[in-house]
Amino acid sequence: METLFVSAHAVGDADAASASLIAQLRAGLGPQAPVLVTVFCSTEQPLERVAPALRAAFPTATLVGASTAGEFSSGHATAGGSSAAAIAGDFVVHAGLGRGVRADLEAAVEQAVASQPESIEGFSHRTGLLFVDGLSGLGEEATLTVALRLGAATPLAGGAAGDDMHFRATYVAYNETAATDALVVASIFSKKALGLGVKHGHVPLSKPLIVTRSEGNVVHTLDGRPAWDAWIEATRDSCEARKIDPASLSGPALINGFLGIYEAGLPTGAEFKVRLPMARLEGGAMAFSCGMPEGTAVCVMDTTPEQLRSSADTAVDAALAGLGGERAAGALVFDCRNRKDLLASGYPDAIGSAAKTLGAPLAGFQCYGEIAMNTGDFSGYHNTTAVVLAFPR
Amino acid sequence: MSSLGVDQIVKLLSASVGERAAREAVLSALSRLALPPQGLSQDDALRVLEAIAKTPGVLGISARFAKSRLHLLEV
Repeated sequence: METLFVSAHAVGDADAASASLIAQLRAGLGPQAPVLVTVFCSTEQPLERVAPALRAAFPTATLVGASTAGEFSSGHATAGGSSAAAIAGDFVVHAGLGRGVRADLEAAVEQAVASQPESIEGFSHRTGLLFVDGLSGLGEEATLTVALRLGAATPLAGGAAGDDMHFRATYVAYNETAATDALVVASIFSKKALGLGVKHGHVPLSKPLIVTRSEGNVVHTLDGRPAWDAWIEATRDSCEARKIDPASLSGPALINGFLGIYEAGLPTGAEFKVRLPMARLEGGAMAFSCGMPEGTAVCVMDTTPEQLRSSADTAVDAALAGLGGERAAGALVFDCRNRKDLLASGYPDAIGSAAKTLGAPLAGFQCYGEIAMNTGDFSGYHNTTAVVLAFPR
Repeated sequence: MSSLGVDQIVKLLSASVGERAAREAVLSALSRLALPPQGLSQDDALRVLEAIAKTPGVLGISARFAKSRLHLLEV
C-alpha cells in the first residue's frame, strides 16, 4: 500500500482551528483511514482542546502531539497557529504517555513505553517518536533513556515542546490527553525504513571554556568566573559588530536576540554538539537545555542566516538518503525556534526550500530542543538544529 | 573483539557531554579501578562504564546508554 501523508495548517481559536485541521486532513485522506495523526499547537490554540477534537475525528489513529513555539506545514509558517499531519499506509503505531518527568524520568519513560510491543511480525522496521516537556532541562537525558528502552535498532526523532517563548508550561499529547511535565513516545512499525536527517548551522566563535561549577542544567561558573560574564566577554566583539547589547535584553528577547545566536558547542571530536543557553540566572549563572557536567568544555558558537538555511536542506537530503532509494511521501520536521528568529523574514522561504528539496508535504513545529538519534549514535538531543523524519512512499 | 583503549571509551560518551568531560570521567574511573589506559578487555570497558553510570545526571545516563551499546557489539 502506498503511503499517504497529508498536512494541514490552521489559525483562529481552538474550536475553529480544530474544525479546519480536521476538514483539511479528511479532504486529503479521502476514503483512507490514517494510522498516525500528529498535531502541533501554539498556546493560542491549547493542545488540551485541539488534541481531543482530532482524536474524536480520527478515533482509529494513534494521535501524538506537542505545544509549540511556532508551527509550519508546506507553504505555511505561523506563530499562534496549529499544524497537523495524518499518515495512512503500511504502518502500525503504538504510543504512550509518561508523567512526572522532572521527579522520576525513568519511571515516566517506562510508563510511556511499557505497553508497546518490541516488534510486530511483518513489519521489520521500528522508529521512535518522542515529544518531551521543553522546560524540564532534561532533553538529552530523556532522549538517551528512551533510546535505551527502545533498543539499539530503533532510530528516534522528535522535539521538546514549546510554549511560544512564554517559558511557563509546555504540553505533550497522546490521543485525547495533553499533559505538562510529561513525555510521549510513539513506536512506528513499518515495512520500509523511515529516513532521519539532522543538521545544525553553527561554527565556533570562542576557545573552549570549562564548566567549573554546575548543578544539572545550571552552569554557575566557566573557567572559575560567573558563566554570564564569560559569555559576555567571549561575544563582545561580535556583539559590537552586530550592534547587539545583551545587557539591555531580558526574557524571550534575550534568547532571540543573544543566547539563540551565541549558543554553546561541546567539542565532540570532529564536530560540535550544540546546546541552547535558555536563561540568565541570579549570580551570573546560566540555565541550559540539558545537563552540563563539571569539566565539560564549551565553545561559544555563532551562526549566520545562510548557514541556517542550508542546514535544513542538508537535513532533508540526509533523511531522503535514509529512505534507501524510496521516494518520500512526506516528512515530519522538528526545527528549533531560534532558527526561525534568526532567519526572520527569510524563514518561510527556508521552509519552502526544505519542502521543495523533499518533493513532498511536510508538517512540524518549532521546538525548544530537537531529537534525532540514528542507530550507532551516542547522543540524540540537539539545539538550533533541523530534524527531518521522512516517510517512504 | 580486539583490546580497547581510553580513546574508544571516550568516544562513547563524548557525543553527549563533550570530549573533555568524557575523558576526565573515563580516566578517573580507570584510576579508581586500577586499570591501564590501553589493552582493555570488553569486560574492563564495561566496568569503567558501570563506574561512570553511577554518576548522577547526563553523564551517568550517557554511560548507561554506552554500556548497552558496547555489550551489543559483542553479539
